[in-house]
Amino acid sequence: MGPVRFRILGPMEIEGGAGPGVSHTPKAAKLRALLGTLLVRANQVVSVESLVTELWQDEPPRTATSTLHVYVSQLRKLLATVDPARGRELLRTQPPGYRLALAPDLLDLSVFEGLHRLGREALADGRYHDAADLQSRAVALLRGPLLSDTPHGPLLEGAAAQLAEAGAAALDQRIRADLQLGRHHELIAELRSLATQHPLREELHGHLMLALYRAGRQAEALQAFAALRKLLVAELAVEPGPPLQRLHRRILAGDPGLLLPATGQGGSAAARNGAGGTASPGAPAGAALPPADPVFTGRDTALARVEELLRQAPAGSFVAVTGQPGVGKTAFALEAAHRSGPAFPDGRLFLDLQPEPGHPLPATKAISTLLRRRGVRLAHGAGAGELRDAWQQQLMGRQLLLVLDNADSEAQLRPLLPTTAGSSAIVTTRRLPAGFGGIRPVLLDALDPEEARLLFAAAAGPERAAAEPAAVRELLELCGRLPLAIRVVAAQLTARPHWSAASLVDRLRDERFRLGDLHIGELDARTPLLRAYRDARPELRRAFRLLGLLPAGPFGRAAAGAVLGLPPAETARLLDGLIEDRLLVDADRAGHQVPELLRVLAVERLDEEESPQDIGDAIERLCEEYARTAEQVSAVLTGARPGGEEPPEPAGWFTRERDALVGAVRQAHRAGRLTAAVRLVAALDGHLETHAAWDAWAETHALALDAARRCGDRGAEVRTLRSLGDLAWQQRRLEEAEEHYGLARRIAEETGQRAELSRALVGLAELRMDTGDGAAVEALLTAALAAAPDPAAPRARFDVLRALGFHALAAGDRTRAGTRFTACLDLARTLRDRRLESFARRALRTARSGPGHRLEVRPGVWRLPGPGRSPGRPFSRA
Amino acid sequence: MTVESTAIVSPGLDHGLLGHATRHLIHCPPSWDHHPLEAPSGGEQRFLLTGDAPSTHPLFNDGPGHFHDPQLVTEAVQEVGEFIGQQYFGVPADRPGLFYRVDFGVTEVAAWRARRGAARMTTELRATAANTVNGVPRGLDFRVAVSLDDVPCATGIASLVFVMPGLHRTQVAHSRWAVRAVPELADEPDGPVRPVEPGAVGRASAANAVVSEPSRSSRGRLSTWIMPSRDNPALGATPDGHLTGTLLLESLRQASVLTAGHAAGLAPERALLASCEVRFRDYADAELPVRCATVPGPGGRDAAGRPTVPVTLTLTQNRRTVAEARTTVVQDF
Repeated sequence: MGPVRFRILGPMEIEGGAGPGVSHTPKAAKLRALLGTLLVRANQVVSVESLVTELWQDEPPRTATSTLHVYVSQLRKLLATVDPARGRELLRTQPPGYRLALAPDLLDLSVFEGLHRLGREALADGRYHDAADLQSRAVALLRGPLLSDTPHGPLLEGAAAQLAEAGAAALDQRIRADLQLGRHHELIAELRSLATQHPLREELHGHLMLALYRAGRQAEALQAFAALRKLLVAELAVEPGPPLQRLHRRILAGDPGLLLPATGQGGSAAARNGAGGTASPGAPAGAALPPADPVFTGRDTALARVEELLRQAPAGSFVAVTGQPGVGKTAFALEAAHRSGPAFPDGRLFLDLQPEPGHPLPATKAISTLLRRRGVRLAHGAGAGELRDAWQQQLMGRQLLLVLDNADSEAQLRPLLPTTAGSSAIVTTRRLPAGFGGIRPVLLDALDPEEARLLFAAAAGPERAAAEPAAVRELLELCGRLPLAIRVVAAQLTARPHWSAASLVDRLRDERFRLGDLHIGELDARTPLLRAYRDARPELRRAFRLLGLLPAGPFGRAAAGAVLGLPPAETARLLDGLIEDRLLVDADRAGHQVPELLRVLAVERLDEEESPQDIGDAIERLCEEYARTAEQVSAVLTGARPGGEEPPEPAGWFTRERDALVGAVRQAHRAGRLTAAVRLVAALDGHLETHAAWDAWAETHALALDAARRCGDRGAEVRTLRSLGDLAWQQRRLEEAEEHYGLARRIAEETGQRAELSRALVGLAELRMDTGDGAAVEALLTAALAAAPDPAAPRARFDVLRALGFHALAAGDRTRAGTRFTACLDLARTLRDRRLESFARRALRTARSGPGHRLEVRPGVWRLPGPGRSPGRPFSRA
Repeated sequence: MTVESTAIVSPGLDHGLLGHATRHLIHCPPSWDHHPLEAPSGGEQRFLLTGDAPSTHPLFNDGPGHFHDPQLVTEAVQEVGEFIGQQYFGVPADRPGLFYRVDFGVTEVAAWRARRGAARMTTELRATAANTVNGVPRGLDFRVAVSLDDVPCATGIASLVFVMPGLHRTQVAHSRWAVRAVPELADEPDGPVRPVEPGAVGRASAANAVVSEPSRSSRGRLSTWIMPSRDNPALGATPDGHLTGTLLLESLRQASVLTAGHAAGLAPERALLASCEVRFRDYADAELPVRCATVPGPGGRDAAGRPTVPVTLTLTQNRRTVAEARTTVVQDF
């Protein structure tokens, strides 16, 4: 009796020892759903919770768990019937659920996945016969949608979507392999049928266009494009994607690069040919170059530059494509290589120099592989010198283009590079090898917003991009506009049709889980980022982690120096090292920036690898640096002219840095560095008031108040309360202002802080002005004046005299108001504060001319009567 | 046409220094270099106007009291626009600021529902100079964002032009001449007109009903006449003989509500002007009748499922266009 076999690529079929004629498929739908779920997750533990959700979704019965046990028991009986010898052992209880243990060849899904994977590798390796055969066998296993006779919960629904994509990919790759094998004539009928069945699948239309073109039916190829375009415009109001448009242009231009060479054979054929150190005469151009990424989008300027560099490349020169991990260096290099085909009629070769992460290919092995792909067979045990000579001889007099992916070191690369004219190379590498004279670097950055949107639309489909444009925009920003991450989210949305872009945005907003969530199947955003981090030297890794304390966006060297705790020269050296390792980018005048997803990684690594003490110390240094700069900027702007270096563009400093400053206060408070938080907030006070940055003002001061109370700093407590009173007053939250000023007054009286007492009393007096209580205003301002004797507290005294001036103005005594504003002007000059000085001058003018219905009662703050009580202006034509 | 807005200046010492119902206009300079008013700015300037929304205003609080009146937004911009131009952009005081474009849209209807107690209204205005000549802008463009009790609830834009005094006088005179120059285009009611019931336009006081009972034409089109108030100067004429801006905007609102009621049965006491785009084309002479023609669009629903009716309005005087507007009326329970 043979083993039990399961088929789920279509309706469920269970074949037991009795042979194919006897069906063991359970009739009960729930049982089929349970078995189907366990089969889809074969050899993995599926939790009871997941199974309950799968069977009953959001409305499980009260007895769901016990009912599930009954189903499991029935399933075990069924398996025992199908395979009496081993059936019962297949389904095992393993916390937190169940596991169906199954050899891969007993489940058609596993067989399909194996064939598809091998086919993909064969295609990437240029073994087109193998690829076509393997993918053809994989496709033949598909009898319909996954478990088409079984009700689907979220898990099966996702798996079905994933299988549909994998099936489409297998078919696509089989067709690609067939096209490489010159089978375009045979493919046309099938492609026409497929294009009709799947009218919106652009890649099928692309294959059809190519097949027609290669069959000499150029006009029909163009008609196929026109028909698709018409359909897309009519149905979705979108144009065909960039890859198809590019193909269209190339057909219009009669690009010979689209045609296969006369031999029409794949790389594997070439590899089988030749012996004795000579190349196969039939070695085809284009052999062993993987297909270009079908959804590759954008980067037109960089591609044009590479094409130009390759066209004009002197002997010994090569293009080095570099950029942060995940930026799409390989896809870019392949696209560039495909575009440059006509310039290299002797062929294009691709080699991954680091097929296993962390294990770079030795140069000798790389040369052997390249020679083998060119059909050169060397005697066993050939030495390194012989290999190098054979390789250079292979390149001599030919026009070959090498694509060397993931280059690790100069030693690895040097023997591979062409040294004679005609041939050239595109090398992808994260770190530029500095020792080459002929290097032509091309730096790839994250995509710009429009390119990112186009890539997403190409990968996830134009409907997805058009359905939720705002959510997609945010999604792409959360991905740092990094191509790899964009591919991941596009694949996630394709595999899970019930997810919306907005729901994915919600998941990814939480930085703690973002990198973990950017993962599906073989696509994983964290791995290359983590690899780049681990490849860096220890001192750079530490610097990278600490930079995670800085908020998103550009930062200056001073802030970086503060978190690193290093002098400027040392900081600059480390930042340069991080830039070379592509863990940091230069943001021109704005300073430096850790790219978004790398920043998330830095935060993750910081929490994992740094001690709380070191993190706290770094935060404290950062707060001190920000506080120092805030004071310096304030002094520059008010005209006090401090010594030392003037901060760049001081007028825009606060607006630029606001989020960073609030972030620093938040971090200091969270880390328990209370004094640092209090100190920074005190330095920000004037900036927050002048910019009426209400949200930031409220948040920072609430944290500072808590910090001041927890560390027993009564002075800071009073100052913060008074500032919160000023905020509430500015916002016209009068009850809140009364409360804050009142509390500040009480504590200032208790602790003898006369200047702050005076300012709190002025605040209370200004509130009384609102209620029209002139006597109370008089009393409060008299007390405030007494608390701020000249010259001990000039700023507080300025405020008292300012309020007294307006009080006099309210009483109609313009002479007295003028005297008080003149005193304000003198104090402002003493304080060397041109903001207060200009305000005092304006107040003096008001006193002379008489008040209007609008009055500037504090610098920049005008009091207006209620709505409808001031003269408006007419409307008119322009 | 020149039309004055609400313009009541209290006598004596009630100049904003003492008493309730004051508001703050806060200037948030992008650079302190421009803080001294002696150095006007050419770039964008940010302002915040904050204070309690009125609860006893004779016009904006007249009615069933279900909503704050979104016209407070246009009123606020109108009120401070010219002042900002003169104080912060160096516009000479003798150049009056005239609005020629006002657009606003309610973004959160629920926030406009009136609740017990005062609501705090904050209007953020971002002002940019337009058409600057010799360092002096000929106009200002405002981008406006409104929040009520800290909930963002409306956005808008408004454009103001500063007219040189001589040119202003010439324009007014020419406009007055032009509107009378072609007697054959005269357009006036066939007979005496009666104001609408105030309840039909969401008001309670008959003094605030400023459009006449409408006459219907085909496809739901209505025609009404603007009826300036004799008692309330804010809804009447300015000293130089033009209808006030507040009157024009209120008449557009009332005509919109009336049309939405006729076309789709929207209840006037629950109707709110959710959007309004107005272009002023000429002055409105207070001595001549102003016709308001309205055309309802197809009724729809907003994102929350509330019924909405778009309305296109044209104000004409002797067949000459005074203003064109598009509004959306929403019904909220």
